[in-house]
Amino acid sequence: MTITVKLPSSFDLTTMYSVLTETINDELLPRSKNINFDFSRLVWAAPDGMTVLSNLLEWLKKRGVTGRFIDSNPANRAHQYMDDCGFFEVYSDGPLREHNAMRSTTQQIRKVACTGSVDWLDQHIPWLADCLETNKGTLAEFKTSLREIFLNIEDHSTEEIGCVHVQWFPNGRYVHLSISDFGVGIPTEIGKVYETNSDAHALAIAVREGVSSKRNGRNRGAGLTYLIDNAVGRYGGRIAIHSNRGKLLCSKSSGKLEQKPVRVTGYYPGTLISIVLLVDRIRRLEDEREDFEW
Amino acid sequence: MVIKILDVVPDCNSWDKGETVFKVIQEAFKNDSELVVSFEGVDDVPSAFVNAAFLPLLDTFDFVEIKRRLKFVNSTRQINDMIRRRFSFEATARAQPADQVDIKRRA
Repeated sequence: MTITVKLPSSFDLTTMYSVLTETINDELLPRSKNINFDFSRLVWAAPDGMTVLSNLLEWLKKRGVTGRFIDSNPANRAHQYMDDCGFFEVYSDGPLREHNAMRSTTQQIRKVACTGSVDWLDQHIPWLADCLETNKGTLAEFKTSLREIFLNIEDHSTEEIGCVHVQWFPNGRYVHLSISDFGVGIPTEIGKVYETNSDAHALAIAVREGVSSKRNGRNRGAGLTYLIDNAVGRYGGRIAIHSNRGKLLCSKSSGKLEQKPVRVTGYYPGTLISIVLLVDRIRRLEDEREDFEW
Repeated sequence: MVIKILDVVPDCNSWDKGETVFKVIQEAFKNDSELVVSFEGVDDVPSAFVNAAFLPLLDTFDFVEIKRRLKFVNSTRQINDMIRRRFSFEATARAQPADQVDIKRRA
């Protein structure tokens, strides 16, 4: 039986759970082998919405489900944006319009294999530095933070691929990057090794340095801590990590790093990391070689 | 003795590359009173590389001795910060092996 899932008018972190709930049942299986995604109401696709939909389509495809798009409209500005990011080309029968074109404020939505993440970062960090009105050297820690995410995907996800989308908002003076994988989710992995009382609790544990679901010693549990210390602590940005039935919100308030674990009623397959960096909070650092002091 | 990382591996992007570097570091550390490691040509390193390339020295030598004998040159802010973070955490964890009170591992 074919079911139809209507995308919300604004597809972002707050509305994604309704789409996920309509698509995935309580047994964490697709609700149908054939699912139509109705674009008729969609007027805004946030970077997270793009990444969530991409991740969901990949998750469904892995489970033998055919996802089709209905009522996409070449005259709709949100659909045009998605088309210009290459979304329809990747996930549908082809681009929505004959003359779609990448915009200066975004990058192509991409599935990035972990083995290709170094090249992806080398290509995109200079662009990000320009958007954030800084230099590559200032973003060295952010580049490594993203590399840490890809290495975590490589260690924990069976697919070893992440879906990434990034958008620059010049009027708002911020960059929004969203990355998601198709794994089983951080809480599921952490729950195998640590006692947890909820998926939100599992996320709060997972971001502590030294915590890793891998027992083989190769992954020392530094990646998520490093991401938060830098994206939030160093650059003054915000992070939201959504995985299974939990989310963790990280921000800086009065100079102090704050983490807020929250239980969610929906379910996110895999892990979604949403990062916002603000132009005006980034302090430019020079890119100089230096010797080491303990 | 000076070891230039990029003479040993083509890049520093993974645990495996770090393991290769450690084999060289380990031998040199046994034989020389001071070991200088050069990151010439390397702009940044992930934790996996540092974990594999340098932290295993803690299996054989104490942190005080490592700090006295191991030097890094021609590095960057990010690399130096990553090395300090990882060594500091690992050395502390080894000295105080108990889990944090509110995190319990399954048996």
